Amino acid sequence: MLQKLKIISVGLGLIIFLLGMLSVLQFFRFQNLLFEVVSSRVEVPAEALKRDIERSLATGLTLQTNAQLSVMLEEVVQKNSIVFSIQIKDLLSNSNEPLWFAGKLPGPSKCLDDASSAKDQGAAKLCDTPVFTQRWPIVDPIGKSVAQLVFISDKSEVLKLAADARKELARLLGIFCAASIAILFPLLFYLLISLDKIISAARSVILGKQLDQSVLAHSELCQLAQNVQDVKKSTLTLQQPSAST
Amino acid sequence: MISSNIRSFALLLLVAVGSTVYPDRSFAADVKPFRITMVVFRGCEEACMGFKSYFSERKIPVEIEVLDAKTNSQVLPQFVKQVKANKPDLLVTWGTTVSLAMLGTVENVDPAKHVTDIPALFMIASTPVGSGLVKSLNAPGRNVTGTLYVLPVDTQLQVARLYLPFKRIGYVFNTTENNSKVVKNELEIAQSKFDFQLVSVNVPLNPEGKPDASSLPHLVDELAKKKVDLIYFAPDTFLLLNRNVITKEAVKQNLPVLAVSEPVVLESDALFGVVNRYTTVGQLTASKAEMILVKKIQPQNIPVVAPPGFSLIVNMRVAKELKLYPPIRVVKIAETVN
Amino acid sequence: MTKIDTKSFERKLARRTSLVLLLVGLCSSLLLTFLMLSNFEKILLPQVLLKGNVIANAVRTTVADSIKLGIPYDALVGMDDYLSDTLLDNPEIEFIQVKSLDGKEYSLYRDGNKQNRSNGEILEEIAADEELPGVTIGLRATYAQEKLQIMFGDAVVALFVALLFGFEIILFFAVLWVLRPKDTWVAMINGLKMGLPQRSLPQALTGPLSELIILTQQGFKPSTKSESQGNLHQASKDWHEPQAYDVRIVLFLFVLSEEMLRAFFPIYVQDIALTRTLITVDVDIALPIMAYMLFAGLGTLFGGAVIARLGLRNTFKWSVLISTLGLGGMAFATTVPEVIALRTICAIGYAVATVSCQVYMMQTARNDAETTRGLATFVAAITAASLCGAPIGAVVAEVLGLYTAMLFAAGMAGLSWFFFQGLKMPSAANEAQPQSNNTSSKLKDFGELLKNRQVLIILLCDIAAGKLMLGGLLFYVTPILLISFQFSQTSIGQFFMLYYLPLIFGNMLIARVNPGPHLKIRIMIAGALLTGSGALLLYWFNSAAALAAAIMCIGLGQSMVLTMSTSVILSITRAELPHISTPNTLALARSFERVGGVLGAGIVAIFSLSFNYREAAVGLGICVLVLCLGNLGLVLRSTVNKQASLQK
Repeated sequence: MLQKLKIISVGLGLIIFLLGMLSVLQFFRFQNLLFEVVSSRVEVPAEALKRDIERSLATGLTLQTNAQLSVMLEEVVQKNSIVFSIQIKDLLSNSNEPLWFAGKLPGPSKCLDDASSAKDQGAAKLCDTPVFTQRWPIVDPIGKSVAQLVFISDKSEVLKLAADARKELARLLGIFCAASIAILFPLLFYLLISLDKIISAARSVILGKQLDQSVLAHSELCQLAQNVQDVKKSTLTLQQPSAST
Repeated sequence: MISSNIRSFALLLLVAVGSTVYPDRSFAADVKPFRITMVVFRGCEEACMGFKSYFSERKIPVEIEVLDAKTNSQVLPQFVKQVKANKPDLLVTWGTTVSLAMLGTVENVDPAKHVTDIPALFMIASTPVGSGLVKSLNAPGRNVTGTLYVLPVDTQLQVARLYLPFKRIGYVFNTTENNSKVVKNELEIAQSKFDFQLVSVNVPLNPEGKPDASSLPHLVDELAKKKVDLIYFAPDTFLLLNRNVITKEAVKQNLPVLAVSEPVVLESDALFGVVNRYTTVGQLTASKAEMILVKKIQPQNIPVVAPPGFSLIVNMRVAKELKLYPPIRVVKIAETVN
Repeated sequence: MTKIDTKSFERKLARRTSLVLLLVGLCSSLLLTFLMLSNFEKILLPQVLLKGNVIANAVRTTVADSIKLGIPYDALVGMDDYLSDTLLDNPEIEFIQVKSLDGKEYSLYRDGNKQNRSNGEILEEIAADEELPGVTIGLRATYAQEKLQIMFGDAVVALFVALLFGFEIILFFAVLWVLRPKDTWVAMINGLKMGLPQRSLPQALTGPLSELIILTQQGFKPSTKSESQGNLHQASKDWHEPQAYDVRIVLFLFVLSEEMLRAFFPIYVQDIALTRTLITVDVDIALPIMAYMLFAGLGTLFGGAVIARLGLRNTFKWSVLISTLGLGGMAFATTVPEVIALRTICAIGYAVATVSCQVYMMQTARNDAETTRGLATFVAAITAASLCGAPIGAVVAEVLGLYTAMLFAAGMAGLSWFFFQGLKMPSAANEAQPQSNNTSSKLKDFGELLKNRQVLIILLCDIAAGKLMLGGLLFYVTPILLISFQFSQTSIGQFFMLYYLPLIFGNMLIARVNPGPHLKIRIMIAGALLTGSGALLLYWFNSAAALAAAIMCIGLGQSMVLTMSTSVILSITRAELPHISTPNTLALARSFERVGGVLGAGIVAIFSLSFNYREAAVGLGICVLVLCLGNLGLVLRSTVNKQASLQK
């Protein structure tokens, strides 16, 4: 019985593991796709802004000297509530400070520095908000990347969607696990009864009992048990003549 | 005896305490303010104000003496003598005319006629290399440096192309001013690159040999008759002083004006231009002054740079009048005024 | 051993149990996947379509800004240019229309002409009002479908990974409870039949058959004290004879620990390189990978010598230890040189561990059929781990973070030792294993192997040639071509499945058949030809379908080559160079695999200087086919040998 339960629990555990792994893999892949789709919305203003910046660059106005960039960035932030901040970082300089910046707060990398000294609780709170950070290269007319356009946008809405999906998935998983257990348990139990019968038959053969030939012919274990019995008999036969002498 | 010792000690203590209680006075008393002479052409305008405000904001002690030529270049040699006599710590010149008169050129400098032994800064000079003020922007070549306030002609034309197509550009040429000559040359060179024809009309001179302001409306008419698509407003002092006349006539003739300096777009009737705020130029110049005076960096080691803060500005009132509205692409990258 | 009866009760029971588990597992997985996807679609589709709304709003806002500036709607300048820019920036939209209440319209269609709308677009509209015009965006219908297709593709990959992982676990329990006890019992019976003295039972004996085995053991207890004393010295030996399947789970877990890194290793290095750049960020990312490949190659080459010196158990122990240290150390690395050093350690550990497992499998084989099965098991375990590694690694990194994922991988590597340490080592006495354990004799062995023409042909024209295609076409060109065919990054992983699937199924088939030596050579050559010829499809068809077919050809071809080639080399070595050890032979074969992989990418890179990537892939295929011509020598020799053996 213990063996049966062990095998059944492994079988059930395997199915649960399979379904669990499947759910986890599916969910994370779906989540990535969802993030990709939602963050691609930010591409709309970002690509337009990138194009405008590169157009300005093509006229000869360098990024460092074009004051309008600050206004352009601010306008995009104002018009897109999902965007927290936008920065233009100079790839050609060693400084980590952005060339131009617009938005609510500097960005996740500075959150830790500013949060501790922030007088405005709103700013500190915003630091905890999950964000998408997306980057696009700003390319000059000869094709060289001269700067990076960085958008920090809100991730909380999509995380909520993902959480809802996760809840639903967990519910489905629970149902399927329960259903699999309900179906598999009796089936395996029934199948393992046959195994029990075979094992008992083989045991009885080892212990010297005679078995139906048809059973013997169709059971590997019983045949092996019969072999054991045969070896025992031949060993005994060898021992008996030596004992008699 | 004890009482006299106590008195001396008390006096010493008072002096010591006094010196700690009134540190500023003692600091101010110790640090001599830097002496700067600024020679301007038409009064202390936005650049001059920006220059002054830089030092006051940073509490750097300076004494700035402003010598105003009041648009009369005849007084400039006198200012040279004055500066040589006063020997300020720094000389700042406004505009190409003043700068050339006070400092000469790299190739043609005369210690008798120009200031050579005092470090100098120029500002609101359109073409410092073209006019000979410095050897190159990165390496001035002498103890003169400064700041740019206009972008190269090529950039201006690229921007113009974004706004409207042009095949013929009109140019009012003031033969007496070096800036005008340099820009005209640059425009002539740019003709093949930008596939346009430069149509130039010279400003006639009056009997005193000065450009005749009354002829300006007629010159604009002439350009209109020659069917130019656009007028390029040079960074020329004479034209700047007469900007209202020129731009108003241009609007009357339905001609857009591309400007390279702030007042022409913001205060007059130029349609658009890529310009920098004069205040910003003044402040950048002041930062160079700080490098020379406080950090003791030689002018020849300070490159000539442009301030951050160029904007493509479109005067919407003029656009409406001319019915030449900016394309959507330009609206997205431009600052609009009026 | 007893004659296998396919109709025996046990077989029927095993089949029924497998079928039940498979059906329940598969059906529940499929149903769960289907329901999950329906749910996901409901969430994803509105988000996908929302982009149209965002674009429409952006266009309307731009127009509104211009109108606010005083530009009359009718006099808007450059609308065509602006709409063209918007279409260019957003490839998923087919047309944009801006229309005021009084009917003045600006519109642009993707093909540049103002055409009537087709039915293939999903419309997103913002209605006009008195102040502002209305905007209509036509989203390409296939845009949403593409996203859903990615979702479905991901689901298929996830399903396959889960099933494969589950299969490995089932195999493990099958080995633990059925195969190992049964083989132990059979070995015991045969041993007792031959009058061999008593042996102990293996420690890890569990399962339903354990009772029968114990009964058998008890039935043959020595009757006198002297007998039992005489058997003491044999008591340390147990009846279980090591089999290739014993080490399958070990190999799977170990390789999985390494393959998991593939999903997030570049991002991990990039993070470190951005903080403390050594040369440039791009070069810094490449350096650890290059170091890994170099030292994996060297480790493979000298793995045999290490085994000969330390023995299998110790070799595996030390290689797992250094791999674990390397993986775990990366959780604390802060600079690129540290990462390079740790990856070097991982590479050596990985190379030596996998050679150890392969040697274990080969040393358990008592005949040709078992050799083939062992090699097939080796390939199957590595392939399964490679397939499962990246998706699982991605999830682990997402849940635990990059650095903790490294520790997780280290734990996985350590877990493989847990399964290995209880295994009985194959006896080296099964075949005469020369103890060539110094470098000069090892190099001499390599030299002799390379001088053997047949071995050289197989190494160059089959093993290395196949890996040329793998490194060049699959890992280098495929991502580039897929991007050019407008596929997403996620699709790249899905396309790689097209390699693994035929490889797994082909390998399974190979494991079941036991071809003769001549047929093995023919299968191997056919596999090599198939590997190279798939790329030729790209010459006539510049499409993703042709690429998919080429990849499947590589997979199927490699399933025929990988097992057969090593099996044939081992047969040749045993027959003609008996003094050369199996570890050294395997080490050389695996080194050629590594070299082939690296060269494949290099050849494509060189071709791509003059041709485009598709043509470079075709060129690589031609190179492989030309290399395959070298097999003619092998075929001729094989034919001569066959005729000679027939005549005898």
